[in-house]
Amino acid sequence: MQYELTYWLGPNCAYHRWAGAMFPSIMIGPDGVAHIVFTADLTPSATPDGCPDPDHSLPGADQEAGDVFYVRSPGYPYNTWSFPHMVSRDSPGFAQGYATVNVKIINGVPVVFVAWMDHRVSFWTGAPNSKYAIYGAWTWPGKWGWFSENIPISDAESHSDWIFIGDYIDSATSNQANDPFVYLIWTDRSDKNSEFDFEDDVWMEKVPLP
Amino acid sequence: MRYWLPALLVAGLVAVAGYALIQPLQTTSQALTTSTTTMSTQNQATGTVHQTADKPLRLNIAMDGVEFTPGSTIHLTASIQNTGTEEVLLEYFIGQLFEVIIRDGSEAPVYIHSDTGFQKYLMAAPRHLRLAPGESHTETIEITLVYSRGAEKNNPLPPGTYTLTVYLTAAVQGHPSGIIDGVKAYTSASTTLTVRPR
Repeated sequence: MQYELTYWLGPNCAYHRWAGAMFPSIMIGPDGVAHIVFTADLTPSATPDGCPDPDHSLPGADQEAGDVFYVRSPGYPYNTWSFPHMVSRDSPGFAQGYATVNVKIINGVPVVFVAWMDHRVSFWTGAPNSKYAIYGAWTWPGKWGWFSENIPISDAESHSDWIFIGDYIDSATSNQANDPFVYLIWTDRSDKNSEFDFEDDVWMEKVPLP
Repeated sequence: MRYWLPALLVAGLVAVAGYALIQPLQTTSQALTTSTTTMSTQNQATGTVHQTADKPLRLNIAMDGVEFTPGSTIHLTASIQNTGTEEVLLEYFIGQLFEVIIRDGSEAPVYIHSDTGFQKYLMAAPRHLRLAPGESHTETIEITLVYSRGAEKNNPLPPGTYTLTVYLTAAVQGHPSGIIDGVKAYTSASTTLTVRPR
């Protein structure tokens, strides 16, 4: 796949720096299986920064500015990988990115958890990608290649930024057998209504795994 | 009393619908308020500033001349001043406070300053600049008059008249930016320069 994200989030570079949203996240579970998630734009922009280029009559980035994909490798030496599987499932027209992956053994089963920043929640505003929330999905070996439905994790919608929203979100699990949670952090802007309000917060959610 | 819940629901739906309708209108309104004024500096350069009336920051530019030889280096001074009554906060990435684009007589860009550096693609946190009322921030930018991209990259610009535009690409807290000539910018200023034969 060669569909890089634009430097700014579309449509027309209207929002925060977005290029880092394609950087991958990797986790090798206790069973030796490796998991990678990344973001790719299947409708890539004609300009690298996502802004329109009036000097060359090129349009800027569209609003469908990224989807989250997952690949896995069965074990060492990790020289075979599955085909990319799209984890983010939504109606066209909204960007997903900044994916993170983690693995937790639950009752002997390695549960794979993926979360990402999702702009589908801006559908009601008339301004695509102006709002985002954190969504997640999980799978396990019995669900090979297929994830659960996309589940909203953050309680409130956040407003996108003009410049910078952070370079990643992240997740972690403990090594305690009686801890069924994955711990997720992200940049939260649910108390903002403008992309020109630069103050950000960091929120955390304990997500119970199945 | 038994009607209060449906009434509250209807009021909420009306409020949500109103917000959804107003938000794109606000964006359009911001785009339409751009006006053009003319400014002059004490140096040789004369700049044209594209700026909305309610913006607290003014961008001034000046060059150390108006006529240059092919491949020579000019020293461009870009200054932003807080003309408002409150402190303003600017947010920008390293090397991205200003963008400079030189266009030839046919309006084709021949020099883009960010082409000459790699800062644009660094994954670093943004910088913040605070300007008190009346306070200014000035940077001097060296520009070598060569093509910055394409087959003629690094070749001297041929004799002719060019338009040099400086874009303030920082975001300003609480004050909307927009897209000017395809650049995410708060405001811009332009001037002309001439390249004479050696």
